[in-house]
Amino acid sequence: MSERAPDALLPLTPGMFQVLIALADGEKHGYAIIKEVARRTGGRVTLSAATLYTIIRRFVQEGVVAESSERPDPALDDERRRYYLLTPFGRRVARAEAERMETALGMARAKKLIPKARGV
Amino acid sequence: MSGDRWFRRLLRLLPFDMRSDYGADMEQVFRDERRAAASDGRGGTLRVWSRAIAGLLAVGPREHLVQLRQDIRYTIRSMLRQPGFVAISLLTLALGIGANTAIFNLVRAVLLKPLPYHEPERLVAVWNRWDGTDAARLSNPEFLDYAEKSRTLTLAGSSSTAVNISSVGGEPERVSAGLITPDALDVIGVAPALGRPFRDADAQPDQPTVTILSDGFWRRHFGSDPSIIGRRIVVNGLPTEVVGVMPPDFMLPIEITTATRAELYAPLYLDAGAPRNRRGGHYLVAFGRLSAGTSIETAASEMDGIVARLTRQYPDEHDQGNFRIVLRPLRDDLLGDSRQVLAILSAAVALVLLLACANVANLMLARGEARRREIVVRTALGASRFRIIRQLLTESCLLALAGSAVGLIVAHWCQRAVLAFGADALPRIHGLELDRTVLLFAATLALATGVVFGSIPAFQLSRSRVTETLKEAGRGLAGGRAGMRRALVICQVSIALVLMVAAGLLIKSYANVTSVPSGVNPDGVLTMRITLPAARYPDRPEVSAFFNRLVDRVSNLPGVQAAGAGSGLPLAVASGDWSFDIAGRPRIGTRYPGAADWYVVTHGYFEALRIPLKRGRLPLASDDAGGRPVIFINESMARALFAGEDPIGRRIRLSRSTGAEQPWRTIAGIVADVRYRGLETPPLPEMYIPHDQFVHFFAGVQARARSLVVRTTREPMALANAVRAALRAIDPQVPAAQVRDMESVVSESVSERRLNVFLIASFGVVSLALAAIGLYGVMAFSVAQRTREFGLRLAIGASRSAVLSLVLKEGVGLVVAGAAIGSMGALIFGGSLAALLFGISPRDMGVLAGVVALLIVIGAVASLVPAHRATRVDPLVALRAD
Repeated sequence: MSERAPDALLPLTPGMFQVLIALADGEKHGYAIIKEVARRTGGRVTLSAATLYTIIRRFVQEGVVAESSERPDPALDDERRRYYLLTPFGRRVARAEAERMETALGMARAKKLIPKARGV
Repeated sequence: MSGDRWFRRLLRLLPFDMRSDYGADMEQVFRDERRAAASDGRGGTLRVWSRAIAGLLAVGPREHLVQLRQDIRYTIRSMLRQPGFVAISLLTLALGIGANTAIFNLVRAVLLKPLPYHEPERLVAVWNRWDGTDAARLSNPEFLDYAEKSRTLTLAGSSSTAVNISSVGGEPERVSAGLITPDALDVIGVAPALGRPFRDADAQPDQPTVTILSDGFWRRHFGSDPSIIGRRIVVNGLPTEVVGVMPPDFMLPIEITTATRAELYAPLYLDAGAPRNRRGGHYLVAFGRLSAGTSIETAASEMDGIVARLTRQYPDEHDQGNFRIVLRPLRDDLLGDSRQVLAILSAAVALVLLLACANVANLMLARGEARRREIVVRTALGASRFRIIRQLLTESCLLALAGSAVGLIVAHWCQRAVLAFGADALPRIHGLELDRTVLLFAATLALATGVVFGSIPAFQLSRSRVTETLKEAGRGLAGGRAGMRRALVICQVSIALVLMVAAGLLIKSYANVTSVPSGVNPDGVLTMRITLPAARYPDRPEVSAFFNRLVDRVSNLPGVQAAGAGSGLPLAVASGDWSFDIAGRPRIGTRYPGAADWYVVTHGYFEALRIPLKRGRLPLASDDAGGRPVIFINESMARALFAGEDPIGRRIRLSRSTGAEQPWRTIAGIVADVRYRGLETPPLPEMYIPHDQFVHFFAGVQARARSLVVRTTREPMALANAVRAALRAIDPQVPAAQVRDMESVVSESVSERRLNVFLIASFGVVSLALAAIGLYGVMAFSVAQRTREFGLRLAIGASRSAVLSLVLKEGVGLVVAGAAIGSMGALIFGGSLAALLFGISPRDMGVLAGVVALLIVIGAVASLVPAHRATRVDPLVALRAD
């Protein structure tokens, strides 16, 4: 599965990309992903439960995301929740999408559509 | 808590497997969100709900579509790999769905379409009835009395006739015309497309001077010229003003049940001032519109009151047993008879579809065996059972939709065959076409069919267990699945048997009907209908002179053996009955001692039709107006009225009714019975009046219309032109109609029966073929699965014939089981066929036994190829293959 080129899945929708970002620093359950995405985007991307799980389902089928078999600290764990994590392939997909966006950004900068990057 | 329940319900918008995989998670998220929003009060809850609902509404349909697209793509790919399977399935489904579509269209045209009138549910048919006659037409005085006295019904009367049109082409043309009381179009609520309807002043005692044309006549003869209104055409020799043109497809109620369409309409004059005490001459077909809010029961009880008063007023005229007026909803009256035939056809065609479903289900099961591994692999890769079922159902529905597309071609053929076989067998089937409603029906039927035949294999296959199947590795046939396939074949055989028995019974009935002697010998007889225009042939002497000249001229044509003319024509034109006195037998009260169907004939009529003389003599040319009045009777009349006596020399006098005084006539001969009302109606008492001695009893068509019958040694139709020329030589203005040989008359008289036989027999043959294919499929598969077993048997010394009979026994066993179930079905179903049978019991054992034998033979043949293959198994190869 990891032999597939991550580019095949691009471009991702903003919702999809935000889910990958949310999972980049560790496994999370559904509600945690929604909260993180909302917080990170300042409420501009709000995922409904249906939208979130459509994305997760697709990602699971494509091998981008997997259900975590290990549970975090049992004290924090809730039996009913399922946790998801980024697979190595998923990480490559996220990176490929970020690079795609960066290329696009570069083009926009070259044409002076937006100012030069500050620190990077 | 109830919020959770609502959310769970909303989750049903999502595809099943998405719900089953992630439903609980979504509920959990929803709970979390609500808990978090609780502090924001009502606004927060509302926000959570609206986001959840909007999300589900956006995602649900999209996900369904995505799955469907995947399934369809997958299906098409997998079908392209199996063209043989697809072809056979398509053909089977096309036959099943196509035949059903055609019959549906037939039912729709005949029964389901509303009558083409304004508020047709308020229209009723109005008939007289008395013992022995359920629906008698009305006479002028009856119609006028009912119309004047009724407060709940507006009555209209109609009749059909034929008129000669001579101003249009070079040749005079005889066309069918509808006669209507002036307000008839108001009563049915249809206005002319051009011009005006009739007015009371249009109805004149003599020949009508105005006419309304049918749309077809207007198009054909006047090129749809709107300036036709006000112009004159020559009808029956008299100039007649065209005052209107009816809309396309307009039909009077009397036209609906007949194949002949009126080309023009004329007003019918009823003399309201004439004495009402001569109440005979029943020729009017009456219908009426119930006044708003009146029920048919109310109108009927009003009619009962009217009859009671009329009976007191005219006691002599109402002495027929239980004289009443019957009101029937017009729709039932016109279409009621077709209901039964169509119900039987619908049932038969539904059985064909069921059989087709069983066949395709069986094919899919067989194919499924081959696909079992594929399905198991998909399951192992995480496809849910529901997903597999959905995939398989998508396949079957897609197959059925494709089948219904091909089925439309079958439906088209089927319809053409129906029109060719029996356009006049059912009302309203002219112009039958496959329109959008029919397409919708075919598509709906296809989806329903797809679900029916797809669900069996879908549920069977989706149960496949990974380990079991992979271990099986295509070795044996798992018991349950083989059982299901055998059960399907048994079903097929039983359905085929029911249809074949029905076909057998109808074919036998058809043979019985057509072997009934009509009383005439139709070989070598040419016939045509000739109606003289009243304007130039006003009375008996002119009519007589014309037909005498015609018969003489035609008799002398080369190749003609005999020629004559009669007011009726066997199997085609029958008369009503006419009461008479018998000398020496007093009337009982006001009742005449006898009544019989009556025909006016020239000499030569009996010779031309070869109606045998039983006693006395046949009419002679000398039985003319100056001769002693004579009459000829048939054997049934002799038996009914003169049992144990010699009728020859007895005298009878026809009742006066509306016409002139009738003379006493002496019975001069007895002829054999003739079936005028069709082969299925036993001959009635009939009497024949020499036409030179005929005294009009009613100035209707009977007085001036005759069927010419000509016996020739040649092919009858080859004589048609010579006869037409003879007719032209006497009067070029008089056209000949319905020129045909007597064989066609016989054949047309059984057209409805022939249509039923054709359709049911076709269904029977199709069902037999499908059952045979199904059986062959199962046996071939069974043999393939048991290759190893046969190899082993042969290896340990079983003879090839033993193996052959083993397989044959299995196949024939399935047929016998199906035949046993089907026989029970046939015995139950048979009763509902009774109305269509003639001279045979619906439970005829001969037919049943014949069909069972046929099925067993076909079953044996279908098993023979697989059985033969079983004997060719090479033991070494079979055993090594494992």
